[in-house]
Amino acid sequence: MRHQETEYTDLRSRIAEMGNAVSRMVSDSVRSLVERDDEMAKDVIGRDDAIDRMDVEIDEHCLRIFALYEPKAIDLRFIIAATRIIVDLERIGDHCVDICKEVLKLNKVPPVKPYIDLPRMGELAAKMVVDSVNSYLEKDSDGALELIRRDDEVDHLNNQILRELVTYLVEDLRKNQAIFSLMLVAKGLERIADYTTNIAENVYFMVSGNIIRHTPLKETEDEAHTDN
Amino acid sequence: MSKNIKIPAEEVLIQVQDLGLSYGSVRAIKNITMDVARNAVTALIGPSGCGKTTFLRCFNRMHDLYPGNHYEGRIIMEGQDLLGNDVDLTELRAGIGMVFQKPTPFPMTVFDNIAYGLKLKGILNRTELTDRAEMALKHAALWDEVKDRLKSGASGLSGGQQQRLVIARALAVEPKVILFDEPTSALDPISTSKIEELIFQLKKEVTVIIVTHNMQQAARISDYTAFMYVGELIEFNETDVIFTNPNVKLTEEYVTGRFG
Repeated sequence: MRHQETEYTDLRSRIAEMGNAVSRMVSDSVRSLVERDDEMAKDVIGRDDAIDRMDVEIDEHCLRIFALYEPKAIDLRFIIAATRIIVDLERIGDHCVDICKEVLKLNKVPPVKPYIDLPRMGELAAKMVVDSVNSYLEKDSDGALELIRRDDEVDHLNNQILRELVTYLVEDLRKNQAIFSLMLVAKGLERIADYTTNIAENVYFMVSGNIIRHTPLKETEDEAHTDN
Repeated sequence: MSKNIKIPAEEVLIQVQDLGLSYGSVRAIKNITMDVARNAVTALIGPSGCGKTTFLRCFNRMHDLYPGNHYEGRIIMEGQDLLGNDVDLTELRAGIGMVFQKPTPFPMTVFDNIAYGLKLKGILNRTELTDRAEMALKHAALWDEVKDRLKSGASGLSGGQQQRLVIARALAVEPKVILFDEPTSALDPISTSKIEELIFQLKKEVTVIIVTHNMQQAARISDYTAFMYVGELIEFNETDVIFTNPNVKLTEEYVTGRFG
């Protein structure tokens, strides 16, 4: 194998590793909420340092590839996408930390309500993290577009949860602290899903060379259809 | 998506139409159709033996120096077919200058190297020769380094200076096009970057076609890039497209270093 290929393979496995670690943080954050598990929440918070380290290491790795191999075409876009994806993954990690901090507060007070939509939202967001990273590793632009569509579902759940929480708040103002925490948790999960769509946009760019960050999804889909 | 870009008619200086060249029975290049944009740098890239130098040498009919070579197709510049029988080759080569891999200064002084072509063109007035030599040396970014040694032998210059002298010599006769055949492959990095900078500047005045093995160089200095493989033109596009998102798989494999 060429030396350059070894570097790319190494980069792929590092991104896969970071993606796995971050998606586990997302699902564990939600578990710590549902199971009222302080230990798990603290554990997730503690794992963020490792994510930050991976972010820096992968960034340096990409820099080295740029300097030594001056990648072109698909290789260039592959490395550019990597440098952007790790930023999104790192931010997702930060959101998990924020969620877990809210969980620690929530676990000190009696539960406001049974959690139904929040775990569902958490599951969707964690799956989106895994799928976005996989679409990068597999250079799958269709998968990336599919993922952008799935964000609507998370947004919808978020709105539903917020409406529901507002009703609880109106019913019993004494629960305001807990309700605000839950709102922040929902918002955090919604942001996580947004970051996965950023990743998906970078995957689409990597595969097609087209920047779709500011293009409506419908337009991109129509174009992708015409190109095929 | 087309594999060859269409350059707007008003920007085209040369039209290459169905060009082919055979050395005896061997067809070195075939069916090349592309346009060369005026006042732009067009790079020819491809693995060794793909025909890029052969293609370059068609523009000033260098192949005519050897018997048994046979052209096909046409190279139209300003309405004239450069491959026509009626073309005056000396005049053609003054209008389309060439710079080779190794610097080829004549064994005479720096000044005489530049004046040589001018004298051939019938310019014998000493003042005019001096002025035009100075201008050419300035254009070639060599003047400051040689102005005090115009009467010294050109062979005393460094490799990079010699190459710029050769470029100045080509520029002195005011060509429309300069062909570069790997002009920096024998030079160190500093001389290389000077030549690259020079080529970049030159396109304000002349049209440049350059063959290079150094893909970074093609990416840095050219506006258009033609990728060739086994004698054929595979893709011709804006340089940015070739190096960031080429349309043809083979081009991508070449620019990413997966073959060649």
